[in-house]
Amino acid sequence: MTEVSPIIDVRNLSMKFDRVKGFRRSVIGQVVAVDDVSFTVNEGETLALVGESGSGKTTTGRCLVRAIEPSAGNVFYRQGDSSVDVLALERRELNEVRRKMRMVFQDPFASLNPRMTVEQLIAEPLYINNVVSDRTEARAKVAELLEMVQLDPQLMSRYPHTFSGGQRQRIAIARTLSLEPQVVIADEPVSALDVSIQAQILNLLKELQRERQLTYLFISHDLAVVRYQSDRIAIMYLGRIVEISTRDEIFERPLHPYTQLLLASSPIPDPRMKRIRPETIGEVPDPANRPSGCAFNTRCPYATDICRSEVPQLKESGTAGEAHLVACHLWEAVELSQRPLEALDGS
Amino acid sequence: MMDDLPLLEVVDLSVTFSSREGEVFAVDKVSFSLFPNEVLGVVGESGSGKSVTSLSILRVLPASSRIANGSIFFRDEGRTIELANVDSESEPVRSVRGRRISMIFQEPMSAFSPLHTIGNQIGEAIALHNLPPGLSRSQRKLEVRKQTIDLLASVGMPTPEQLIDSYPHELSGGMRQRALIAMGLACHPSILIADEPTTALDVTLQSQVIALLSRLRSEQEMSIIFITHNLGVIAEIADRVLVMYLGREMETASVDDLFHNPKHPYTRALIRSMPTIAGTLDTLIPIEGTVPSPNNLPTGCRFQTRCPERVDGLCNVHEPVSIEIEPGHRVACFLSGSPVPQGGTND
Amino acid sequence: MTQATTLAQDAEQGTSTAAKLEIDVASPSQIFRWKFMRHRLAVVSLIFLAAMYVMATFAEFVAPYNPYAIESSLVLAPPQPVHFIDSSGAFQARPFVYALKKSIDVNTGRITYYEDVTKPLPLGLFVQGDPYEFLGFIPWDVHLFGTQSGEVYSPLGKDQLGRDLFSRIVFGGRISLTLGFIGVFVGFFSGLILGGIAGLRGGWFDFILIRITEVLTSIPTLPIWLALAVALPQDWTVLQTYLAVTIILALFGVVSGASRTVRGKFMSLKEEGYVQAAVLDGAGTGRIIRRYLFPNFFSYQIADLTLAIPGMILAETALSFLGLGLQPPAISWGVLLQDCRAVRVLDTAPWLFIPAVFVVVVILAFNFIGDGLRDAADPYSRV
Repeated sequence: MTEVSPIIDVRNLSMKFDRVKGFRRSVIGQVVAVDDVSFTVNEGETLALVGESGSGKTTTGRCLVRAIEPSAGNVFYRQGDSSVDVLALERRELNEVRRKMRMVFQDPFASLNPRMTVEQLIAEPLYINNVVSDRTEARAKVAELLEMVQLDPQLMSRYPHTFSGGQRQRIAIARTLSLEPQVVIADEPVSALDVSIQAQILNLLKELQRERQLTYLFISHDLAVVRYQSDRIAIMYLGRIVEISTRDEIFERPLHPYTQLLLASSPIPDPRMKRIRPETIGEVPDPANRPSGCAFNTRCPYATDICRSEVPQLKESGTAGEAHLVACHLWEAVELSQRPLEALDGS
Repeated sequence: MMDDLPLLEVVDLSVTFSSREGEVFAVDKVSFSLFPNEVLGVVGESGSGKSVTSLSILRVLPASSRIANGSIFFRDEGRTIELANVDSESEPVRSVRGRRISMIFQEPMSAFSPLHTIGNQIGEAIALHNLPPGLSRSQRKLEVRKQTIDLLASVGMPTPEQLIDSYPHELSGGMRQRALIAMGLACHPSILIADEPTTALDVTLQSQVIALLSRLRSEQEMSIIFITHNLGVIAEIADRVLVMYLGREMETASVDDLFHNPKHPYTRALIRSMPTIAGTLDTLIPIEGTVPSPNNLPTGCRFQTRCPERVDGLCNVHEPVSIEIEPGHRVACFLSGSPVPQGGTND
Repeated sequence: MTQATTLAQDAEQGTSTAAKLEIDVASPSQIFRWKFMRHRLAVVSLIFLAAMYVMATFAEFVAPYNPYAIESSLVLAPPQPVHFIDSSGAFQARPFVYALKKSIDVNTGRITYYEDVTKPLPLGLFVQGDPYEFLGFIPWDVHLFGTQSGEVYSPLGKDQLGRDLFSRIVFGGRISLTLGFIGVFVGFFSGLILGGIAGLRGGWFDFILIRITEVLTSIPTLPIWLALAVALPQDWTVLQTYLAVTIILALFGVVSGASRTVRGKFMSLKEEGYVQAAVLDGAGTGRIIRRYLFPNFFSYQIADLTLAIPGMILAETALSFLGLGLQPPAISWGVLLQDCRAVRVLDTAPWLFIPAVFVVVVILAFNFIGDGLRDAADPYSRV
C-alpha cells in the first residue's frame, strides 16, 4: 500500500462544557468530554474508536458532523483535492458536508420517527436535499435502498413499530446511505441488538463498505466486534486517545496498560481460555473530576510519580513497521511485563 | 458432583402471559436442575424466557402472568419445598424468597431506595433474618452494623466503614453493583439468582463482578443461576449452561461441552455468529431472519424458521422434546435423536 | 443466498395470519383509534357527549319551550312522570302524562301539585309549540317532543318563575359545554406558542416564562376571581362577560399548565434520536417542528386537553353559582344552580338540583374519554 491521504484529519479536537448548578447557574466544575484528540481516517478504511463509558468516543464522533459543537480544534474533510474545516463552515456548507458524512445511531428504536412509514423515513433525506423531485422517483429509490439492506421493498408502507431491532437498524442504514455518503460514522450500531442479529448487521456494514468504497468511523465499547470490523483502532480513556494503531498491532502488541486491561477484561466465549481475573482494578473516574497527569494513573499497576504529574503525549513507539502511537510514560517497561492475550493460551 | 442431589429441580415449568390474543407461553415445559456449589448459566436472546424462568422460581412474576404447569423443588436443610403449586405469598415461598434464594438485578440503582443509606438497607435484611437471639436493642444495632461492614468488605468494597453510611447515589456504578450483591448475600442464601448482573456495566467492571461472584461462590458454598445473553460471560463463569430460545430449552450441557461439542443447531449458530477477541478471524456467520414474535410462534421446532439444518416435513411439523444424549447433556433436536412422534413424517 | 432467505422469512412471518398483517400495516393513528375503541367506557362517553353537543346546538328544537317563557300558574311544578298504563289499567302504546292540578293550603299558602288522572295528555314527537328561529335564521315552531294537544308538559319540572327546567338545562348546555372547549383551546394554543418557543429556544425566554407560570399557579384563584368579578364592567353584555370569564379561566389554568407541558415535551423530543437524525439530514427548524415534533406530541396532548375541560366546566359552574361568573339572564348550568342557594329549595323543589347531575355526568364522561385517549397514546400498551 502506498501513501494514502486521509479523508478526515482531526486535529486537537476538544469538547468541554461547564457543569452548572442551581437557580443562578453558577459553574461548579468543568467536564472535559474530549481532550485534545487528533487522528486521521484514510479513505476506504474503518477506524474504530474504542472505550468505556466516559471515554468521549461518542462525543468525538458527533463532533465530526457537529451534532455536538466542539469547543476547539479542526476537522478537515477532504473531497478530491480540496479540503475544508468542518468546524468553520456556515450552515449551508455544513449541510453539504453532512450529506457526505452520515451517522448511524446506536438505538434503532429511537432513531426512527415512529410517525413515518419506512418509505417516508428513507425518502426524507432525499426530499430535504432535493435529490428526488416526485414520489415515483422517491419510491423507486427507496425500493432500491431497501433491497440493498436486504429488506423486502413491499414493506415500505409499514411503520417502524412493526419491525424487529435488526430490521430497524437495516432501515436506519438505508436511510444513512440514501444520500450516497463517503464517510459513515457508526455509533455502537449493534450494541442494542440481540446476539444472533449482531452478526447480520456487522456483515451488512462490511458488504456495503466493499460495494460502495465507504469510509467508516466505527464507535464501540466491544473489542470483539471491533476486531472483526476495523482496520485501525484508537483506544480512548477519559476523553483522550491513549493508543492508536492497526488492528493486529493493538491485539497482538498492546502497549498501553489500559489497552492491556481492556483486552484482559473482555470475555472470550471459550471456557478453555479462562483467565485469572483481578477482582479490584477500580473503575473509570468521573469525567468532571479527572486525575492529574495520566488519567489512567489511578488504576494503572505501573504508575509512578511522573504518571501523576505529567500528561503523557501520544508518541510513535517505533516498534513496528506500521504506525503505532501510544500515550504512556512507561510503555517500554510495560510492554515487556504483560502480553494479555498470549498469557491466556498457556494451558 | 453428579452424585449430589440437586439443590433445585425445575420440572416441566410453563409460564403464560395473558394478552389480547389469548394465553402466550413465555416459558414452555422447561426442566433443569441446579446442584450445590454450582454456577448454572442461562443463555438466551430477548423473548427466550430466561428472566421469566428465574422470576417464577421466586414467585415474583408480573400480575399478567401465571405458572401454568410444572413443579419447582427446592432442597434445603434436609427438607424439600415445592414452590410452583402453592400460593405466591404462602409460608413456604416466603421462607425461601430473599433468604434461601435471593436475586440481583441488572440495574443496581433501581434496587435501592434513594432515601436510605446502603448500610440501612443491607442491615435491614440482616436484622430480620440473621441475628443470634437474646440481644439487647443496642447490642442488636452494633451486631447488625458489624455484620454489614463484614459483608461489604467481603464483596470487595475498599472502605466499608465509610461506605456503609453513604446513599446509593453517592456510590459509583461499580460500588453500587457490589452493594447490590452484598444485599443479595445478606441472609447467606444457598442460591443466588443473578439476572444480567453485568450487562449494564463497562467491560473492566464486568470482569471484576465475574471474579467477585466466582470467589463468593466458592467461599460461601452457594449456587448461582447466572442469566445473560453474553456467551463470553457464560464461558467465564458457568459450570453448566442452559440455552433457551422462545421459551423452550434447546440444549443443556457442561460449559466445556457446550462450547466444544455443541449439539443443537441454535447453539452452534450462536457460537459461529459471535465475534471474539481471540482465535482465528473467520467471517462471522450470522443466524438469518429474526426471532419470531411469541404471539406468532412457528409450527414444529421453535428455531426451525432460522435453522440452517432444518429437515422439511419434520422440523416444521413436530416439536422435538429434550432428551439426554450423554450424561448431563440434553438436546431438543431431531437431528440429535429427539423421538419422532408416531406417524409423524410425511415419508 | 442470504438475501433471498431473509426476504422469504420476513414474508413468511408477516403474512402468517391476517390479523397480524392488519396490525403490521397499520399507521400509528389507526392503532391509536383501535386502542381507543377498546376502551368501552370511553366510547360510550364519547357517544353521550356527542349527543349532548348536538342537543346544545339544536337547543331551540330539542327544548320544548322557550327557556325564558314564564308559566306563572305552574311555579315550582314538579317533574311529570311518563305513563304507559292508564287509570283503567290498560296499556297504551303511546306514552302520556297527566295534566297537573294544584291545591293551595289555605293556612300555609303552600301550593301542592298532583296529577289529574282524568286528563291524560298523549306525548308526540315533532309537535308544534313556541315559535323560534331554527339555527338562528329559519323561523319554525316544531319541537322534538311535547304533548300533542299543546298542553304544558315539563319533564324535569318548573323553576321558581314557572320556567321549564329541561329547556333551561338544554340552553344552559350551550354555554357550559362550549366554555370548557373554547377555554381549553384558547389556553392550549397560547400555551403551545409560548411553551414551544421556550422549549425550542431555551435561554432567557424560557427562564422568564417558567417564572411567570410559577407565579400564576401560586396565586390563590378565588380572591382573583372575586376581584375580577368586581372589575368586569356591569354594563357588559352576556356574551362579553362570557368571553371574559373564559379567557380569565384559560389564562390561569390552561395557559400556564399547557405551556409547561409543551415546553417539557419539546425539550425531551428535541433530544430524541430521530430529531437529531433529521437535523443531520439538513432539515430546517420548520420541517422539524412540522414533521417530527407535532405528530409525536399531539397524541399525548389531546388526552391532557380532554382532561382539562372538566376543570373549566367546574370552574364556570362554581363561579356562576357564587354569582361571580355569568349572571341571569344568561343561562348556564352554574346559573341554574344559583336557584339552589336557598335552603328552602331542598325541601320543596329538589328537582332544581338536576343541573348538577348534568354537570357530574358530563365531567365523568370527559374524564373517561381522557383516560381512553391516554391509554391509546401510551406506546407501551399493546394493541
